[in-house]
Amino acid sequence: MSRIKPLFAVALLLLSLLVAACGPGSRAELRPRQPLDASPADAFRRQAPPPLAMPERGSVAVEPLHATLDNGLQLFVIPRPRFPLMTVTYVNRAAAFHGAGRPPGLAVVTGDALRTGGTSIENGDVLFDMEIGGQKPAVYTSFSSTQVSFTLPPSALKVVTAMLGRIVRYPTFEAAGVQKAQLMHVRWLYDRGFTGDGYLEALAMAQLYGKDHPWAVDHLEEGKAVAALTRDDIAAYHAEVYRPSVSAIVVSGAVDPEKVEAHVRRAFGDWVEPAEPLDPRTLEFNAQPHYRSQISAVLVGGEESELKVMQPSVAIGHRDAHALRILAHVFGGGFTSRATLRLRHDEGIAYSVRAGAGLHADGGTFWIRTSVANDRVEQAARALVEETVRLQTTPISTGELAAAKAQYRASVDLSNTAADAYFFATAFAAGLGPDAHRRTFEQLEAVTVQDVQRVAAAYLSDKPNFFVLTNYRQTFRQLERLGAVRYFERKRP
Amino acid sequence: MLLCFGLISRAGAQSPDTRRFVLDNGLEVLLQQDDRSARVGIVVSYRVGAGHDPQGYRGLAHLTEHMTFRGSRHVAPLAALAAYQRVGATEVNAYTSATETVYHVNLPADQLPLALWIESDRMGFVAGAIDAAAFVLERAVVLDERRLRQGPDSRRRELLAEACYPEGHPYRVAASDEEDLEDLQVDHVRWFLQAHYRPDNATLAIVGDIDLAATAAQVERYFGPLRGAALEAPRKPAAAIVYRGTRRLQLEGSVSRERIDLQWALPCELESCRPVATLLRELLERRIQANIEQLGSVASRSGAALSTHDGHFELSVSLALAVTADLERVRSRLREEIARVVAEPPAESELAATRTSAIVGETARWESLIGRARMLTRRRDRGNPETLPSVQQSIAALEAVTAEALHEAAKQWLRMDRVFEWEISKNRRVEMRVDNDEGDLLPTERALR
Repeated sequence: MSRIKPLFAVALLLLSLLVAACGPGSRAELRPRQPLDASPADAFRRQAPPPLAMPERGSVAVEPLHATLDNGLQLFVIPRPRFPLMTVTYVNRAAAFHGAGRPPGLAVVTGDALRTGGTSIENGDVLFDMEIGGQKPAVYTSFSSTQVSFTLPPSALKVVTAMLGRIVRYPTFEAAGVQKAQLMHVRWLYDRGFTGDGYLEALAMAQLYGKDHPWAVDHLEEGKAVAALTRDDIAAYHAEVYRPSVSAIVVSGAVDPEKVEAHVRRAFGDWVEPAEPLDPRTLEFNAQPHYRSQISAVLVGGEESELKVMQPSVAIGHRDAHALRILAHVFGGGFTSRATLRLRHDEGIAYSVRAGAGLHADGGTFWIRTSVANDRVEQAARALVEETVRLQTTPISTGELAAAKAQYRASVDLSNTAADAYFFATAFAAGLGPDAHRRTFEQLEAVTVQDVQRVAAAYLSDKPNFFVLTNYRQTFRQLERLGAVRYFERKRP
Repeated sequence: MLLCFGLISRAGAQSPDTRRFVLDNGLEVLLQQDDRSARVGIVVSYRVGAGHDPQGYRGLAHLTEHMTFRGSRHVAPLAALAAYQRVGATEVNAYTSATETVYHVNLPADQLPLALWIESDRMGFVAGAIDAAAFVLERAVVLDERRLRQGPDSRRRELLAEACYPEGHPYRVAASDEEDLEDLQVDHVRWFLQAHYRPDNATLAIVGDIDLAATAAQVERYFGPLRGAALEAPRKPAAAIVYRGTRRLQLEGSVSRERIDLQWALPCELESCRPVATLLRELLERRIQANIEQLGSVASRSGAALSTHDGHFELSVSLALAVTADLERVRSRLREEIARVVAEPPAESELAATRTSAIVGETARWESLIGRARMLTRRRDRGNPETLPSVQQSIAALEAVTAEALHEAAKQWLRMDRVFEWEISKNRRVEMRVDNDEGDLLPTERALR
């Protein structure tokens, strides 16, 4: 046996060399030339040195023209005479994604059914799948509002405002169209529940606020609730919630404001506010009974684990909202954020790390998200905690603050009509007025390094809730070193 | 119900001042002035992509793109990203396609020299500045990115390219091989930079609040002295793709939805067939959404897309199936819809709605500074070298397409004997199975060449 081993080893070596030389893995040598850089560096950079830092230019705030109709409907108009497209948005701030005390999904399905369920027009006909100039209305229901929009050339102003009035005020909610809207939302829930982030978010909301909280309904349960909705449920919800006092129209584009107002008055001016006051159904965000530091691990296959941290934060109109957004930029808002510098550039373990402040009309969250190889879960989690503690205990530099403000400023720099309409519709939903854009700039400029440290201490935790989509059969030792772990089998939608 | 009205106001679509020139070192420069906001969009496109990874070096183009952010001779590691962030830049990123590597940034117009300085250093001075330790970290990041994109849905582009184009074809975006990636070394990146990151293999486009003459002088100042290593001749655009048969590819994997895709190569030059191809894409999408999605067979994701390679188009339609849908039935319905498009021209009302929708989409794309700069770089070396295309030209071209021209294109292009078809079906027990060998699944197939 002892003689065979060396012979076998030599044969194996020869075989390996042969495969290496002739096999599919063979490749040509790539040798760079000298000098490595062909351009004449010194002379060149004397001619073109790094530019001097430019003084910051002040931000240009957009302030729309504003009017309130007698019935309470508000109108915001942003004239953009040189823009080729126009956006017209109807927004309802009561028809939010999860209304307290309502069946889950009711607002979404009602919003979609405005588009799919039929619209009664003035001559009594019912139109289905209405288009204007080849465009269907875009319907978007968020945590704060429902928005119905058209983006078209300004020449369509009259027909768009007229049809938007019919869509919002005179839906017929025919059975087939309502079913279609239900199906659309069930399919969205199915797709969202299939994604790692969607699944972790649903789990996180349930852990933070309790499984019965309107923000915490999981995809399976919401799907069942949506399937059980009737046409009458939707019609009753529409009759109660769609009313002028909680509605606004936002128009941005090359339009004449006086004509806009005239068209809007024609389409919405005779809309009568129901006598019955709207039940505000305020959401409660008492996280204490359900919010505790722990790791929730969900079993999946694969080599990669998804990590999410989610903490309760504040509503969009809260005094800390702007400091939280700046904190999000500093923590995980770009390629040179603290978490990205550490996990991606310094440690090479994550392709992407993001942090964000999800601020809505009623409340908000602060989240951090990354994805790493299974053997790096503990390293990543500890790094995120350390970065949290660093932000809580040490002020950020003035340079970091300035960079984060520049990023924040750029993110609300309105550059097209759709961005205008979305900004002011969302501001309206949060109870902000036509000065919302200017105030955003003023308030973000007022944030100090002390504010950022304060909100880091107030809203982040050094013992955060981690939500991990992982193959915990491979990672449970790492997880248990981090703290108490609750294990979940993933429910497929 | 369909409501139509007059098309976009031509007065609203501004006529931009444009300029195209080529520096002595071969760099093509495209400038377009638009002062409606105080920002500029900058795109640098290198005519090299993942399709040019040498044999045995899969992932080299992509890793090189990552390494250019790790510093250059005059820009410290990650300093470019930090500098962009400090001045409020947005859309700071890069990507590597089959045939291009593209860097883009949107920033305040008065910060344009900063972008010119950073991008000229990226073009000329990365090879000599690569740090070995940073290289090892970045290679690990690329490996992590690869792990994130393992499923058939996220690997769709690579899988399609592997199935459509033979080994060595520049449109073939080979999946980066883990072993190849782990074997990549600093010298390989240096070689790649010398071979491809050079002025005569690149186009610089700047769109926004600029003065054309002053910007041209700035570009000359920052990019003019750069020299290429002349390791290889600049890459020539590939020849047009012609499908000579049909091929069907079936995948099984852990996916949320089953799906069907059909893809055709359009046998024409990009500029000449763009308007018709754009309207045909729009028409197919409308028909699918109206006639197949309505049946409840298709999930919310469906549509048609045009992808461009060098000077050519591929047109595809894709359907993500509802959980309860029958794949055979949906496939049959899709073929019926395509047969209808081929059989008769669209009605005037349908054409009008299709056209307006296409014009609104085209106008919105031109409104984005980065989007417009990308469109300009895609059209390089085409048409009159002294002029650049504009939104007015695009709209006029769309308005000129007749129902007959659209029908003729459908007949010529949407041939079921010249199509690539692929399907993903659910099977949680099998991670992924690619079955494109001759056999039961391909009873009448001829390989695409």
